[in-house]
Amino acid sequence: MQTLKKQSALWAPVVALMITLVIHIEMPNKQLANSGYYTMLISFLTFIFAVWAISSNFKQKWCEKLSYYSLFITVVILLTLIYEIITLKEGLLPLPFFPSPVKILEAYVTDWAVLLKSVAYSMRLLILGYIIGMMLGIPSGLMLGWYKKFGYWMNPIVRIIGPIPATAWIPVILVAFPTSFSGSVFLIALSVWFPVTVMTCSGVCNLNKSYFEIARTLGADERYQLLKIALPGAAPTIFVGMFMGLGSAYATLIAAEMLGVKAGLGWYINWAQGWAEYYKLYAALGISALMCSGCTSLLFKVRDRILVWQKGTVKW
Amino acid sequence: MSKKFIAFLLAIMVTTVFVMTGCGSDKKTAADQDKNKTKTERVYKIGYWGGTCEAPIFAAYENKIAEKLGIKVELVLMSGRNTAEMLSTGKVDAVLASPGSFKGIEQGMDMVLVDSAHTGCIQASAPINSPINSAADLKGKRVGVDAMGGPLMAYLTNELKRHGIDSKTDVEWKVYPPPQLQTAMDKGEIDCFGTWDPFPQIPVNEGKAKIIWSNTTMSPYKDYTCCFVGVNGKVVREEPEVAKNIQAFFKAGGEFCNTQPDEVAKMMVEKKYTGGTPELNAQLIKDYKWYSDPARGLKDWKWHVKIFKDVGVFDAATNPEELIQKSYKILE
Repeated sequence: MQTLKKQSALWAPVVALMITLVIHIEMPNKQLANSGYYTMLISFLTFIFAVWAISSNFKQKWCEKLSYYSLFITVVILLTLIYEIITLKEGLLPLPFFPSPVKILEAYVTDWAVLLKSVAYSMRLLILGYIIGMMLGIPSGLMLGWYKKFGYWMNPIVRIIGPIPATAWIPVILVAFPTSFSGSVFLIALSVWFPVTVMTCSGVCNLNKSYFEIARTLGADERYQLLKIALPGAAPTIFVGMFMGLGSAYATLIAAEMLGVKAGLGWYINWAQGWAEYYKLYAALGISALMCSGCTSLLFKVRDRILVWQKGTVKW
Repeated sequence: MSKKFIAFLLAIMVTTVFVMTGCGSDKKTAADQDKNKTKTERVYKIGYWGGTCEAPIFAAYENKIAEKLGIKVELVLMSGRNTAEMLSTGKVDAVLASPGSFKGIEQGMDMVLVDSAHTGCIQASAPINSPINSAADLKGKRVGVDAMGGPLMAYLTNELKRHGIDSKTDVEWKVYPPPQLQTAMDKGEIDCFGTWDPFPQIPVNEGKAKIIWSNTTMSPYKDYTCCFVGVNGKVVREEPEVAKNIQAFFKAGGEFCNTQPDEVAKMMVEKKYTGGTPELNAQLIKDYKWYSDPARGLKDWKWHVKIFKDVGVFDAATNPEELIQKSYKILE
């Protein structure tokens, strides 16, 4: 059994959730919404956290994890409760711009099939676009940083094309590409290509000259220098570019899915916006944020593996 | 970093956020701001997005109707997407409310319709050699639209129902931005497309397409108002005089469209209010019927609410009477 102080940290989320449940059920609603689903969700979460808190008394690892996240989780629950009060219960914020959490949950419940399909379609687009963007970005960034002649032509192109917003490309893309799907993939790839190229080039250019000089004296040819020194040396900066590309890709999704797709998060968001159904918009954004966060974590894991040699030397 | 330094950094961030949002709210609404000044300085902000069917706004503005009514009018360009938001948050006082705003109204946008504006302005076209001649031929086809559940999709769904076609399973709907719909059709990605004018009309005029559906020429749509005069709800409730002046402004503009369509079209293109050629705009303006008739507007709005509810664009939970009561007002 844990100390009293530790127990309060473990049980804080459960307490916050129970307060939420009571207020949600007892306070009268001033807006129209189906409260049933939310009640079920909160009850379910209370059960989960209660189980976690109880078993934390017996399993050390679970105890550590819960007490670490407890403060954040509790604050989030309380903030959501406050938001619910000012929207659903008191009606202080104007509809339809500020839907209550209860209404947003409704979107998940009623549209879960469409949302799931949209997630699948968007993931397909994102994965394809991201891989292509990276495959084009890293080599072009390497060459930009290495060969002056390449930079002579590529630098202006990168600078002019990079900042063009995705929506401005739409008319051109629809005409130039054979299908609108390839056009959509191109848009995503473009948004990833720009930060990856710039960062790769920057990474190469910022490498200590002495590495190359020493390698040359030891007989390294150009290929060796490029692939075994420049590329690994620029790797940390390349990863920065990849993270930026990830965010770019998600942001471009809305524009990319304007071109006649059958489903997708951007398509769903456009639809919800057109119908002023903001609760659906926020629901989709929530999913998008979760997906992006998941991808970022995945990318971090990859980075930690590849850049493991850095672990002792930099702030990490 | 010392605690003081951290606090200092946080303070800068918080102050920046507050300054940004604070500067925004100084503007408040057009109504509030001008109410504080004297009556003669109340500037009417009328929003537009540059469509042919907003001709009454431009006609009235250029023909100095504002002076005749003793008011000051300012035209505000908005992007087509956020007309309803601009209106209901008070950034503009009135717009020409197209069916694109109807769903927003149902969702709680504070826009009140006060009068009818005109019939027709939404059409659908297919390639000239296409086997599609009307909504009856759309089973299994791909239809390009400007928005899911938008006006064209709503009307077309209604048509499909009349021909026993299920819009959810028998037809594939694909969304493109309106200027790209014709390109998508030319490339064969869709079999036909529909949206508001002038996009469906352009390939028809070029001899490349034919109209397969139109609410300008086909029954029963041609007998019902398509676009209305939409006024900010707050203005209707708190400044009825302003609302009446807005109604008169639109009415006068509509009359110009009836009596001098060619001049209005020429002016609109010259002053860059809208795109396309004067001939195209004149053709469209002549096709629509322009009239100011609040009572008829109410009847037509009721019809729209029924149709939109039947095809599922409006929520099943929406109460039609309550919606109509809240969103339409005949000004005395």
